[in-house]
Amino acid sequence: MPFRQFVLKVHSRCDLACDHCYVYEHADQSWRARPKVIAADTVALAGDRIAEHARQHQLREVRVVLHGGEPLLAGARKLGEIAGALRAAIEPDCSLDLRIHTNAVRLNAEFCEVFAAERIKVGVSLDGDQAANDLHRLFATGRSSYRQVIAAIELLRTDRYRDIYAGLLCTIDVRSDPVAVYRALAALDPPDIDFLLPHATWDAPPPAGISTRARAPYADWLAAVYDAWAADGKPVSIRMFDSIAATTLGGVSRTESLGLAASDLAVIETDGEIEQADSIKVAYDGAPATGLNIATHPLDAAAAHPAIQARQHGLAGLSAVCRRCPVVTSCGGGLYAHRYKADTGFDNPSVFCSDLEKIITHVRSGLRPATGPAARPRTALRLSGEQFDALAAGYGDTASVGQLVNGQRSRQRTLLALLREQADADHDRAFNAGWELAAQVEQRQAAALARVLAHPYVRAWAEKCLRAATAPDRPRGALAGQGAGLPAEAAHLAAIAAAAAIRAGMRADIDVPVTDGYLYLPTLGRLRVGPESTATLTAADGGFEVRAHSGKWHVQPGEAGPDPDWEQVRELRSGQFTVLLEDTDQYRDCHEWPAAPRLSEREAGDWQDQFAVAWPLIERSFPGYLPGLTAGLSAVMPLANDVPGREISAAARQAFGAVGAALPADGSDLALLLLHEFQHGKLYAVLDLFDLCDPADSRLYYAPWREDPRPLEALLQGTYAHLAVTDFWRVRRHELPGAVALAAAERFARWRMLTAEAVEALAGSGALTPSGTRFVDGMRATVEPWLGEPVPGAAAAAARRWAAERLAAWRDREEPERR
Amino acid sequence: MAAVAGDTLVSLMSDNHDAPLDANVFIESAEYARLMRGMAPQDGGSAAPVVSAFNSSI
Repeated sequence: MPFRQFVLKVHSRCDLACDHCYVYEHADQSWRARPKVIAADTVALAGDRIAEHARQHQLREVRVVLHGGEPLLAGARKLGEIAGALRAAIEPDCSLDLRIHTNAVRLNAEFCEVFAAERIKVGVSLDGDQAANDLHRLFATGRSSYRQVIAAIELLRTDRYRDIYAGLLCTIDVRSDPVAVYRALAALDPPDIDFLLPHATWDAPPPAGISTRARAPYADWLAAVYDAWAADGKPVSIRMFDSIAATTLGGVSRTESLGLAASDLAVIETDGEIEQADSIKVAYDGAPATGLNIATHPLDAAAAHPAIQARQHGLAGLSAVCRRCPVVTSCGGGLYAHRYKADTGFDNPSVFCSDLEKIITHVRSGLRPATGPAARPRTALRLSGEQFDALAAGYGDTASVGQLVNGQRSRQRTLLALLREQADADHDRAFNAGWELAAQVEQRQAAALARVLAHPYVRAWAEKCLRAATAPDRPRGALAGQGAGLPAEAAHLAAIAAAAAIRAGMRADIDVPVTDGYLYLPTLGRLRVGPESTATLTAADGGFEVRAHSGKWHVQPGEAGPDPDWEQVRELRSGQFTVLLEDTDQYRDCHEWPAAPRLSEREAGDWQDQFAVAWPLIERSFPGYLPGLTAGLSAVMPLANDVPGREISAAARQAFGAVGAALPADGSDLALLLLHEFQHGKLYAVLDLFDLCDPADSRLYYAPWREDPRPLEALLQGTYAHLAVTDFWRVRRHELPGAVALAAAERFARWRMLTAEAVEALAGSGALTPSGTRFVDGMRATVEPWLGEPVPGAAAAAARRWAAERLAAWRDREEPERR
Repeated sequence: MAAVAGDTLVSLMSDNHDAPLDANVFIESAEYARLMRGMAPQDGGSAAPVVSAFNSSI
């Protein structure tokens, strides 16, 4: 993966003599041989290399931190020249976030003027109040640096320089008073506070010693800070605590010392040497070295360096102890340097392991949702172990799939609440009117609103709107063209509410948007009204009337002899079970293949004929899947198919309950497609609740059912779906006659072998979360006994041949590149 | 990831499935970040696809 952050060493000496400094006081002593000040040529080359790297990887932004030693020793004019050279080289290709990190002893108005002019944000090292700061941050003479640093920070706090004030960095010494340190730092009103554990390894333990479960002094110190900070109402961002909260809830850490995210940082020294992160200097002399220099190597060479890549494997790159740990997603094994031990290298937990576990647990226990006077107390969605295991086995009963449905409803409510937060009272009138009507419907007949909100493509609409509303580069109102807080498509909520009101049999009047000549009513159908932008809909007694410039329509859904402009959503029926044959919804075109246009009556009849075969087949032969399908499948969405004979189907994460498919050859094939795609739907819904794979794992894997290598989560999806495919042929080989039975047996033999292999690839990836490991264990428990079931020798041989040819073809395509 | 309480897996997602539309549904910034991550296209092609597809060729 590419680098996105670069530390550029501009001066290799320092005017303080802090005894905890990793540059001068730890194992690596490479600073002694470096030029004191970076040369202009080296700066220019660094800029060129970074620009080259940004172009090659199409990066939109990179961050460069000017560092030392003490960078201010380079002088204000030199720093201005460096900034100018970097911007000139990099900014034609991508944006540059330029920063400097300093001890601030020399920081004065002259420096601040340069930094303001060059848009350089300033981070300052300060260890707290004077008592704490004077424990380490001293001049070589032993004199305190505190007063000079405070004066510099006061300068940054002035209106003139406030915008370049980036934050404070504090190295912890447990001898100091944690609350006094926190309050002293917070009083300086920084945008951000960073607390750092002192650099240490198993061979060079921390000053307060190696922590244990019984004694974790750094955790206790940080817990005191956390409690004071929480009691104060969290008035300032503290990166460590924010990162623990974020990673606990599945987000991304803001600091490289926590979390599973891959390292994307490179250091460029004053002589142009490319090094790993500075903190590794603590391990051993020469530890950060790569042997590469920007004069002779592009940054891609460093990105490919094994030592750099070793820090990009997420969960898989951690020690066995870490991978089993319940707080690993927040901890991430701690800072890489802190894992070092001479005999085992970096394959260890952090020397601060017990401290990290304790402070993460402490912060997690303090996490509560924001609350207000009318807030609902937060409860989390849960699955019992039994429900989770039933899903993992490939099936899932009514209760477990019902809980997945609850998860989808929760997500839908959250999406709507987030859209409402963004809505503007004046300019999102259609959305607001829709909201008001939906709330009225809910009061009268909650089930009617729930029915419409549960429609698969309502989530697709909501996510599309939220993506647009929160796009970082979106000027307010740009999408609506009228200064609105939401994109124009948010007006679709009026149509959702109208559909709910119709279903509730309520009387309601509302303006509903018209798109491409149609007024869309989710779950009901669409009305052709012609070239309008809105139409007025009046609902009453289960029907509705629409008025627009182009005409007037009255529709009673479900009634015989409907208006020819009304295209009602039809149903597929088998006995008492029905699903929508969804060929009208405005947002249905979110599967991999394009949606088919509205079906003719004959085409709809073909679907019904096949469904009448498929569903009884599932009821009879695949009862293990029936409860889940009955609880969760709500729509079949016809896909366009421009290749005769090709069978296609697709599920979409943002459309739970819908299966997209082109009409297959027969009802048996439709049963297979429904089983297969609903597996994806179940797993998507599980993934909405739980992370099963390490999101930092960027490797690609062989998936025998695909032409292209797949990310881990995609391999999991394919394997889970092929559990059902294997099961389908396992059963069908006994039901089909003669030669067709042999073909079914070959498919069973093929898919059981490949699914079992894929299960082992998943299990061996080292990148499953604990929940993911449990899930894959459940899949294995299903497929493993199938491997012992007898199949005709010809079928087994054909399956092996097919698999071998498939793998060989894949290797021909992929391995030359991979080598 | 999931917290485990006894043999119950506790999701990151708040349970709002029966929340009235007008209820104040609060979502922590980190839960919000996960929701946005789950629906946004991600860089580098390493994210799970939003769409799964199956060409059965059967």
